Amino acid sequence: MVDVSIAQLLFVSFAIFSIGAGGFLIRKNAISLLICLELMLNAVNIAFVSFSRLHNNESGTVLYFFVITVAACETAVGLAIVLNLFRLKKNIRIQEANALRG
Amino acid sequence: MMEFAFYLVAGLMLLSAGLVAFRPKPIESALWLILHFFLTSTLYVFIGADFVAVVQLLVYAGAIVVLITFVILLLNLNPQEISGGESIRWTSTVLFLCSLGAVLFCLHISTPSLLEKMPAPGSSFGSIEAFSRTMIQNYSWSFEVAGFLLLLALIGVGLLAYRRPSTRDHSNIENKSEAA
Amino acid sequence: MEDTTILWLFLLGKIVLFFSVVFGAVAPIMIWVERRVAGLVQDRYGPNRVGPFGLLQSLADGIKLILKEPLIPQGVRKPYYLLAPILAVVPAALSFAVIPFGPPTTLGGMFETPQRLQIANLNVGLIFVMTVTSLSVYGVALAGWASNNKFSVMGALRASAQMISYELAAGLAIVSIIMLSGSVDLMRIVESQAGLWHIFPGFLAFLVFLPAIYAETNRTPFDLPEAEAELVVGYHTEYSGIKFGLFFLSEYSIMTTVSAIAVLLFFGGWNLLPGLNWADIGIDIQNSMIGTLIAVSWFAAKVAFFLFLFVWVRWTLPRFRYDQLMGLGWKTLLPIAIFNILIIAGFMVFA
Repeated sequence: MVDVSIAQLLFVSFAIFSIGAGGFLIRKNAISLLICLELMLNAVNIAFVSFSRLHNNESGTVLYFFVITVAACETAVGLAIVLNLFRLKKNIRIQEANALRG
Repeated sequence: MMEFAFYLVAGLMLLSAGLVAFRPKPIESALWLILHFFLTSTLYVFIGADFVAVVQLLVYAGAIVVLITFVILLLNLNPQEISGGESIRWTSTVLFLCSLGAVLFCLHISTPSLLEKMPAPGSSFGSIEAFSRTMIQNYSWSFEVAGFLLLLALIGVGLLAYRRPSTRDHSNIENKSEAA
Repeated sequence: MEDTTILWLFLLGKIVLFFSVVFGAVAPIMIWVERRVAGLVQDRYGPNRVGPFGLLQSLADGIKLILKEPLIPQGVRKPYYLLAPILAVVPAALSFAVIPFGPPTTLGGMFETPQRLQIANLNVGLIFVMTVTSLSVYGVALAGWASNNKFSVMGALRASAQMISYELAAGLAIVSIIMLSGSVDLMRIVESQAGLWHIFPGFLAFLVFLPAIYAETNRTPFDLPEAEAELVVGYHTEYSGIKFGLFFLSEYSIMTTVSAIAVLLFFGGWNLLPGLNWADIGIDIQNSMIGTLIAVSWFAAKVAFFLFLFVWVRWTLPRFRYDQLMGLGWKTLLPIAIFNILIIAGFMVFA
């Protein structure tokens, strides 16, 4: 086990979340967007587990568990939507998914 | 020594996160994402959360990224179909990093207690017993809801991925009219 | 307490012994057994020229594979093409780290407290094995994609879909065993089977687990990813020489791992027989060197039976069709596994 401060762990979490958010805003294909979402959820998980360790309370790890449940559902549904998008448009660029724009 | 190991892992995590977010091909992103999850798992071992570390690998690296890789292989896109006007502006990147640093600096001077080393955890921290006791005793209702969410997602994905015969006929007609 | 130097030497000894046995003996002998049994079943001789009964055939093949020209076909995605065999072998090697291959022992009085015959003492051992075997899909998927060949991609697609599907069934079967033994530490699981092996209450779980491990190791009757009649040889079509050898090696070592897991979970590990322990026939497996050796050999014999079962099934059953494979996984094994959890829960509450 390593002696670290909560600030160091939170910095890692915050920086990864920012990188994920940046990627999410910049990327143009749907699968990369899903991957960046995973990155952001993972960064949040690091913060949950760090706080759990700080307060010596397992509730943080339980929240971690719920976050990965949601992440798994989100990936499965997201990828199914990507597959449908591909069937409809023959590519997965999100600029072309504009049927609801009117 | 261990301090150095932490900085090494944290640095590699940031590097792999950057590669995940900004490599042009999705398959490369997915591969770097696997490495990123391995490093995250190492970080969890460092802070004593062993069970979480294994679950991280089992669920993220063993299931979610496999699913993403599977869909990437299934679509098997040409490079031209993937890329499309993605550009990183250096000015905005620098601005972003500066604001990140500013936020951290403000936090640093306002709450110095954050920088103290964390106290040693209880002996049962990170064990599967302590985790499941908390989960079943305090969060049993949420646990059931999470299970229900998974079931709904399963049904939803089945419905989304199911190709209805009528749609297929419709697309065939479209293709024929295009060919004509 | 023990002297730390001796403990380190003991750990090193366990690592060297276990890896040399698995990679140096079990995998080559398994390849030889596979070919000899194939000969037996098809009424012909197997390889019988190199060494006594052809036993050194695998060694000769290994030397041939290593000396072969390292060929990289044009048009492959080179870094991923080279990475894939490594990604296939690493999980196979990692999964051995937590498998206990004998009872806690003092090695005939060399140690004061009994030491575990296990390389890494992880208290989440079973989950670790499940994790690592599920990671082996990356080697296959990447090999297929990097080869840039439609048969390889088809093989990789089939392999990843199949592995994800059957992992669910295997996981649910394992859940019932965790419920029965109340632990995910493999050593504890074996100890909890001292009286009654888990195969008796968990027979349905075993019925689900066995096809699932065959599908996860891509062995017949579920070897769709490398169905030679349809896909040449699937994901490793473009591989030759030692790179192909690594895929081959990883297949056989993962077979060894899952056989060992089947024995540890359902067939009592190194326990003698259901209801009859080593102590009952006067063998002390903890304190005497001979007793420990006997227990380890008994465990090895059980694993060997499961390895033989893999070969036996391969040359007996025909291959499934792909939709039958998916139907079996999702519509038959998964409901049975869930139903089985209910049965086990009832068994634990009322019995």
